Amino acid sequence: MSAELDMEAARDSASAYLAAFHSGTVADPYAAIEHAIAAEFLAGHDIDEVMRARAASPVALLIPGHGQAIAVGSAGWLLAVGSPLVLYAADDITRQPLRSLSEEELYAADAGPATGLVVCDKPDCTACALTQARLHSRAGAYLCGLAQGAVNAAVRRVQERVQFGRPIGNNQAVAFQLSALTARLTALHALGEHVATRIEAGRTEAETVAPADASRLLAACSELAVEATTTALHLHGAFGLRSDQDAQRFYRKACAFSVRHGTPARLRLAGSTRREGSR
Amino acid sequence: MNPTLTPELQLFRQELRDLLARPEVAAELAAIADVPPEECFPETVYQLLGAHQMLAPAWPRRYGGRDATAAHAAIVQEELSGHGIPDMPFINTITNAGALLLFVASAEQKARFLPPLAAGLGTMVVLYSEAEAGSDLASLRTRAERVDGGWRLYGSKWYAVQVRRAGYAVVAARTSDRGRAEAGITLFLVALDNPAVKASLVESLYPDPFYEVLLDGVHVPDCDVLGPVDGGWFVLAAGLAIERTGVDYNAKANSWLKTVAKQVEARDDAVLRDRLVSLQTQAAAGRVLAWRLVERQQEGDLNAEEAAMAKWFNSELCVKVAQLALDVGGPADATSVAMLREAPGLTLSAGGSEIMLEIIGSSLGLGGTS
Repeated sequence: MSAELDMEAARDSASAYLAAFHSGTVADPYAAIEHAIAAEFLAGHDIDEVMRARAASPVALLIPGHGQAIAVGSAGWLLAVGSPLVLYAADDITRQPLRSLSEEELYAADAGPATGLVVCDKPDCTACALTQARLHSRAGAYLCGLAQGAVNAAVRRVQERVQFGRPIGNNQAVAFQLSALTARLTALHALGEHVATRIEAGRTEAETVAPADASRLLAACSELAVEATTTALHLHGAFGLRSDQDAQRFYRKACAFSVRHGTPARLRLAGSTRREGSR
Repeated sequence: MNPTLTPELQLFRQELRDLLARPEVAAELAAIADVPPEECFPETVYQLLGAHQMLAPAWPRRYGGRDATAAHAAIVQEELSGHGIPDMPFINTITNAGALLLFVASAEQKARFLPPLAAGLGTMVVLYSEAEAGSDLASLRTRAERVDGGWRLYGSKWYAVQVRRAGYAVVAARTSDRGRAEAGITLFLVALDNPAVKASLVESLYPDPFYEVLLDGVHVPDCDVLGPVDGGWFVLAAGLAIERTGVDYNAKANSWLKTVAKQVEARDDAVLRDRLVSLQTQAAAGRVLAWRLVERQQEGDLNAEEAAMAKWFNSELCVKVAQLALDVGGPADATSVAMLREAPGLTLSAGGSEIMLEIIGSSLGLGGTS
């Protein structure tokens, strides 16, 4: 790959990162991010015509977590992430809808006797590791976006909510929480953009971004998303709990998807070993 | 997760590292290892960098710099911290006082004061804080009275560091009581060897000795007035914002983390390891943010709220690293003791955390001050 092409890929990746961040700020469905990554998993491998046709229709990722394999969003195909990377027809496997905090369609899937199609069985596949890093970076972007959306909503709320004769946002005890979250978000978001760019650029340059960096980034984004959305919800008062309020929507999604790829501590642990990226 | 540097900046960093790899650097660091902080001035290292125009590379050539950029200056800061070279004289002289002079001094003052600072031959400090005036600098009480050919200064400055070695100090004093409190303050360049200046040591937790500096009618000639008379507060407000990128605080956090990481790696403790990795990620984020501001600084486009974010984030990070060091090494470990003594000053210096949060909140339309 030429250096020029690579810079283009880096820009694309940075813009995919920004797109994921933006979808978080408006609490769009998280499923779209994983569907896009599933397509990138398939595109990154030498697949035949049949499989390419399948990749054109929505494919959801099947990721192990909390004792079961879980997929997000409706899709005709499921791609079990790991080594080997296996594609299943949704109809071939048993699916159990889950009542998730996220308000998105989640289901536990059990492949049972279904064999599926092996997309990749190389344990040290670079395409798999790259896509896994993209997944972690974009999931991080989405979580950062949720945090930003929640902070934006809280800023508006505390400017408007009047108690004791003045907006509650005039109180430093309230304002400083949002100032601090904004600073932490800004720093982490800057790191996220940087890592997203380096993931692609690193493919040809000496200074590579290890998958570990994307996992550590995701861990930090997960923790901040839960903290920021919890604080933002609290600052809304009981009003924020209402189902028509965005504050509770950000909180639901942050909690649900912060542990989607493993708990933060688990992500950091995986990030500190060489074998990260292969499950 | 390092910032992406241009090839030219990478070369500069390498040139600097080659200089710092010289045997006389290691020899001096070994020699001052057990010296008390007030005596701890690595003059060989500073003069070596000065001789290569690397102490203040962003300054114009005629003042001993390289006509280079804020990014070059940030690299010097990172490498001093990274090599464990005491950087308090550098921060006070080059980053604080020197940058202020470059910003506001007359051509004659620049030509007189800057070259010895860039050469590592002299140091300079800033004396702003007083017993009753910290974050609220406009409430300062040090007075300057007009006399023939200049001014006489009366008052006392507290929490001054690096005073013993410095030839001059930038002093903020009140020159007028008319109008707003902010409008009557002037900056002066005061020779510290003047007998009317008395520095006395104040025992403190902070590792670098604190001094109280008494100004007992010290005479300052008109040629040593820095910037406009009665306009000092505005100069400082603008000057602080242009130097606040957080690079120095982040460099410290990273250098501390390097030390703590070695201790953690020697232990088989998953909890400590997890906290270390978490702080390393935060430090990487703080570094990318600080470097983004360095780029803005180069373009003359540094915005106050992002600068406040970088300062707040990176100074608070140092506190967390020091707390990890305590958990790793305990209260009698030399590493944790040094960090725990220094960290509380970092969230106070150059704008305390609450002031930073106030600036950020104000940009969000919160806090009732906007």
